[in-house]
Amino acid sequence: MEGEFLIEGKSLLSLIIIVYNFNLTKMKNFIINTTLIIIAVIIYGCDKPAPTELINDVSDGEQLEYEILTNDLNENNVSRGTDTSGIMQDFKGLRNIISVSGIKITNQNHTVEFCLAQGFFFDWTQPVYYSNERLLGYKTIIPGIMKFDNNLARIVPYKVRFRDRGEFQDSVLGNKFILYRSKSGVGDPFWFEYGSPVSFEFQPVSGEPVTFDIPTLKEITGTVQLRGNSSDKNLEAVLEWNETEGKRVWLVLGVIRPGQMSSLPVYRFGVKDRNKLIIPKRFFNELQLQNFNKLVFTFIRSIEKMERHGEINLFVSSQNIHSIVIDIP
Amino acid sequence: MIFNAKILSQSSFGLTGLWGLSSKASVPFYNYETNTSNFSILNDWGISLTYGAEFSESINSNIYSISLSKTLSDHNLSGRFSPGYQKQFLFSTGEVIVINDTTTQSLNADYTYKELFGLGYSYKFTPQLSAGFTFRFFNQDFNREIVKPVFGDTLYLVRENLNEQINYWKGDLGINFFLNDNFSFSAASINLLNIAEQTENPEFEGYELKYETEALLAGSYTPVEFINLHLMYETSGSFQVSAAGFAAQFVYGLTAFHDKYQSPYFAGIVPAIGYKSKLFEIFLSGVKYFSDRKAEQNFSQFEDEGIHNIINNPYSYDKILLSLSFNIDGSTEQKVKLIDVELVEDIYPTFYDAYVDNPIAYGLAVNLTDEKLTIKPSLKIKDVNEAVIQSPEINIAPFDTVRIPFYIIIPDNYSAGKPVLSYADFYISVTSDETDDQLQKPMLVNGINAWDGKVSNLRYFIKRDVDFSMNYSKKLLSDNKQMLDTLPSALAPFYKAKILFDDFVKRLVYTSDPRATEEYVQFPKQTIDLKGGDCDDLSVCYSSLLESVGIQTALVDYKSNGTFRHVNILFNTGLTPGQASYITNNDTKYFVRKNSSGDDEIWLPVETTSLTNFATGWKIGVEKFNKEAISDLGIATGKVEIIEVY
Repeated sequence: MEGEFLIEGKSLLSLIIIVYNFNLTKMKNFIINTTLIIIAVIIYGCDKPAPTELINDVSDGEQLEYEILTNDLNENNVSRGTDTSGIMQDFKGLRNIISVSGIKITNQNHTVEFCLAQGFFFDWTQPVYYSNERLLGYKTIIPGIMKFDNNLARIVPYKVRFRDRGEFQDSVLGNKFILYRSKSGVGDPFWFEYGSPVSFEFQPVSGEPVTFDIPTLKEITGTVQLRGNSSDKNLEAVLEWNETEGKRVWLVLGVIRPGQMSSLPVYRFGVKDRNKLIIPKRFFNELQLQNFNKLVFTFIRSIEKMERHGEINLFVSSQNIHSIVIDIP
Repeated sequence: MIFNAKILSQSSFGLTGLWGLSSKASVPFYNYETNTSNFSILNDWGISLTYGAEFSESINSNIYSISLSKTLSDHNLSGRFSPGYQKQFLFSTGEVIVINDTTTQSLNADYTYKELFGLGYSYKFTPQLSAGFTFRFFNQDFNREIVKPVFGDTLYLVRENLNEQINYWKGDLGINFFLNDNFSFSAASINLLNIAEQTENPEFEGYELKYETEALLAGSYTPVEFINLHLMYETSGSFQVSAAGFAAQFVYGLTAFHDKYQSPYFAGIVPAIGYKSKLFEIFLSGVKYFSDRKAEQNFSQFEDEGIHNIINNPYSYDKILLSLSFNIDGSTEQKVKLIDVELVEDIYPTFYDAYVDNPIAYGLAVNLTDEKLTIKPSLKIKDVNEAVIQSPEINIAPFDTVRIPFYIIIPDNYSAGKPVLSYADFYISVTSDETDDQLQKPMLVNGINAWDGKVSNLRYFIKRDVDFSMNYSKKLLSDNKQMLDTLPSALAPFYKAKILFDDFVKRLVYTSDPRATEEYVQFPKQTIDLKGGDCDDLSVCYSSLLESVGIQTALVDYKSNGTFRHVNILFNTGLTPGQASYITNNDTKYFVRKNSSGDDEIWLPVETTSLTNFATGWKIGVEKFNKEAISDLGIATGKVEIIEVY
């Protein structure tokens, strides 16, 4: 066996070189055997190193969420839920909601600001369905009186517009509480500064009144830079905002048809409050932008919590909103 | 793709640990990480393969590298295919698609970093100094799911795979220096040259291998013969320390490394043990990290820090590796080494016969093997020999040292009159077709008239022009044929000597050496042509003429006269003491010597510088001989020496 290598076993690591007494005169055999060993090793060793599976330790609240708000781009109005601020808000699963919003809308470099406070109480015994038996919402009730910063909230009809069987329908689901004031002074005697609490009082028809402060957040101010254009299908947007230590910012991309005032929200991006998001061109290329003339980028910073007072549990939402309306390039 | 200069990273961690540069426990030639200069002690071809297993949740085995290396004289080339030099990361991107209130869809990514192959070159400037470079090719394969809106009848979001391959080359330089048997040093760059493709998709920006241009410095110390200590320091702050050694044909080493990107401070160790023969090396090594590599690893750390090294990073698993290297040496292994050569003296071309028996140099050779060998020495002197001159073979015991004589042959036609400073190449070999070692020494080759002052060596001048002398003598004697024919045959040598001398003295005058040097001796023809010479030249010439007609001569070296040394000759009359009266009745005028048969013969001393006539030359020669050789006991005391020409 002089000059030869013997190989046993199927696993490479079990390859054992038994004889290695090499003789220079047997160089040819040596090279042949060496080549055979290398080929055998290659054949047996065709695995690759084990991958490392990394655990994404980003909390749920810090994930980047993508959501479609409107599937049908032909709709002219909100498609589901209840609008509190011109922006979609989904009330499903809630028995009530108390909402305080600081809102800015920038259009053509002109910004208007206003405050909005609302209250809804849903009667789960009176659901409202689409004709296809899909749940639209619930009827609302007025179970008492409500004050924001000692201002008595007005009671107004709660109107919704939805599309059913291809037809737009308007409906009144009940009443809601509301206070509204623009910074120019038009509206109710209600105004709050960003970051300062809003005192809230609810006096039920029966039972003890409930009072607490609703915190408000730091003002959100966004900027939008568009790159490219819709005709070349390379339009993308760089969104930046004043970041805070808050965990979450919602960014909503909507479109406005020519001649209309209201927007159709299409995408919602939930991002960590890190001050920047680039919306890639692929999100614009599918929007049929030839049917719209404006884009609406809305920055939303909000907190939500449940206030528990005896048997009364109130879902409280405080949000700051900045919407920027830009012509589609 | 647009290429631009971009610095990427790969630091100096080798899967077989840190080794030194010495021949016993040396850096493997396939380890580019700790061997940036591509230094190799291979004599010819080297093939290596590293196969290993990685201990993750399961055990994965794969080929880490296959390399080929070739040494050509002082050049070394190598190539390495490294399919196992890769690291793959699977993770969730932290992005989700919200399908409805309760359903989300997470997006995933698969990033793989690979070093595919490398090329290296090194050059040995001197046995102490070598330098080289390596170029290595990397590939980064990024795959990531992204959200893509799709509009049909309705708008919805789907997952789509985004892929990008980013390739780059990395080049580094290294230099090695052996200060002595105990210390060696290395220096090399890390990420000196990087040629990379640009990342096109912003999603992948920031995930490329991290870069830092650094340098590494390494030193090896051998406190005792069988232990090497090594330190390799990177300017980034990372370092490795190792101890390596050997016993018989086994090598072993233990490397501990500190990596600034890993914890704890000593992130791990690389133990290794190997067996080295002349033909192959087999290494078993392992990488053991001190932190728990099976614990969950967070994406956020990877996102923030990335990785700086494919095979050694915070996510690397413990490994065990088997490296097999073959040293296929087509050239003959050096079995003997020529340590030094000592020259006996300068070359005197006319003494060619002397070199047949006397070495011109002695070499000191050592047997590097455990076998008894026969060394074949040989020699060639530039401008003297056209071919290598073989010297007698010498046997040498295992690991023994032996003194080797080198002999030379001077060609008959060598005729350079002036000295030449030449070179002698000394060779030793064991087999007939390969030289094991050689040395070159400068050597003075004198002109053909040069003489070392030893009277005994004048014989070579006498013999050199024998053809000329024979023609000259025969012509002269034939002119006296009538007289010679009338003589008794016993007196022929005497009268031939007389005729030749009388003719000789008529033609010549005594002169000092033409070149005013005592170490210049004329050949007989030159003396005749130049019509003169000193005692050396005249004695050589007259002796040559006598020898050419069969008259035996001897040189008489008178050493006793202080700084002035004199030479004249004796010639054999062939007469017996009983026949001495044929030429003289004065028994002080001849000298009796025994021939090879033990018979007494009459020899006459002749002073060749007495250029009057034979009788005077004989008379003066006798007087000088009787006084200095006989009366003053010169022969007995060695002050006068009679040197046979043949």
